[in-house]
Amino acid sequence: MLTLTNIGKTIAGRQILKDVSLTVNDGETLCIVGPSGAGKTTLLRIITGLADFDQGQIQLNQQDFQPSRDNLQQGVIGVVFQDFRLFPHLTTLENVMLAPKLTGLLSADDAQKQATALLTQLGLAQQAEQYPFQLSGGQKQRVSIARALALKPQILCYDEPTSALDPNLRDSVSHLLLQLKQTGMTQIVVTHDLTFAEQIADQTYHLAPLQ
Amino acid sequence: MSWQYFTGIFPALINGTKMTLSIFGLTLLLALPLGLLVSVGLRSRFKPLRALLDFYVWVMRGTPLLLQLIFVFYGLPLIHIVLERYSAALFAFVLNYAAYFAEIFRGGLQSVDQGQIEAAQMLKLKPQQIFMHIILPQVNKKVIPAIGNEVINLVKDSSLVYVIGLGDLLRAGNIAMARDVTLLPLLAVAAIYLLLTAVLTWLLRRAERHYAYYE
Repeated sequence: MLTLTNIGKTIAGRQILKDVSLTVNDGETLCIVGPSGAGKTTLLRIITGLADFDQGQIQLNQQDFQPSRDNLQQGVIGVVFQDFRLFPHLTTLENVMLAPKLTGLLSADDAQKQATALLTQLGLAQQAEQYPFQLSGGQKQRVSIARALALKPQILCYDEPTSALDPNLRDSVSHLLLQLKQTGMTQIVVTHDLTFAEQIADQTYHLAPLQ
Repeated sequence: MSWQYFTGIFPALINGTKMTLSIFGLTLLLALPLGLLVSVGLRSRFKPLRALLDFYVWVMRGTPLLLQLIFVFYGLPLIHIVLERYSAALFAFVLNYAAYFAEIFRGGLQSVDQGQIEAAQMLKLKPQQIFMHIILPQVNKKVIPAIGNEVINLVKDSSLVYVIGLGDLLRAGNIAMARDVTLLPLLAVAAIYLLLTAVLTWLLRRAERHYAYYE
């Protein structure tokens, strides 16, 4: 369970977030919705630890949690970036097995087995030896999901998972996220797409731009 | 003009080529890692270090290598640092080329998307792992053409060591020319330089192809 209490953030003298409080329960999918400029991505960066917050408190399983310190060490919260950010010089398989191997979570052999299993689960077995530039947008996204899942995160975050894809792929993304929910994954999804949010959310948090 | 003449001066030219290759190889071996190190320092958040390295790069790129060679060999003894000829040449070449390599690597480092680093951080990779496994392979691909230019330059620049009395390929040719009053030795010298740069060009193309597997 992840709890945010009165989170606030100011960047260059401008308040981006103010008093954001929310709770995501285990196995739940939370959608953070709002227009562009409302601070959705900033909030996601705070949750994943890529940005710091100025006010408030974050707790993970009732324990004080400072993502920029704790998550970068523990990797309990994974993220799927809007632009995927796959490593261009590595194959699909290498992208997925790199982190478990380098962090010592798994041996090289086991990391490869796990990566193969994850890619198969996500329908990417055929693409294991391809490089990111050879993949479609939807495939890149699934590799990015597999790469994050390889570290066995408790929570998986997505930044605008539908925006870099063809509109007709939206349903397949929501299908995929619902599938992951079935496995018990806790998910936080930032999106401006209300229809998409409706398809997948157990809970929706509306973020309005500050004046 | 006879083959006999060429075979006569050949041993001297080969000796000179050995010196040329030795300066070339050792400079490359030492200046590449040093340049990479300097380029990382050039991006440091520690301002005094950055200022110091900026100054170093400015001096090395802003003055002729010939001048630097003279300074190292004839100037440093004035402050009681005495290097023998070969060490002095190597010292000057490494310092000079590391500065050029540093600027090339700096550009390469700058071109790696910050998002790549964030993605790696999110995967719990440590700074060192991010550098070795994510940043460096992408930098290498970008810098090879520019590094290649400098590598070719280095072969020819190595002829500057004559100024502190080292016997390289060009000097061997010059000696034969002055002794025999003919330009023929210089033709042979040119042919050897061309052969060396042809081999290097081929190796550099291979290195480029090695990284051409992805976009």
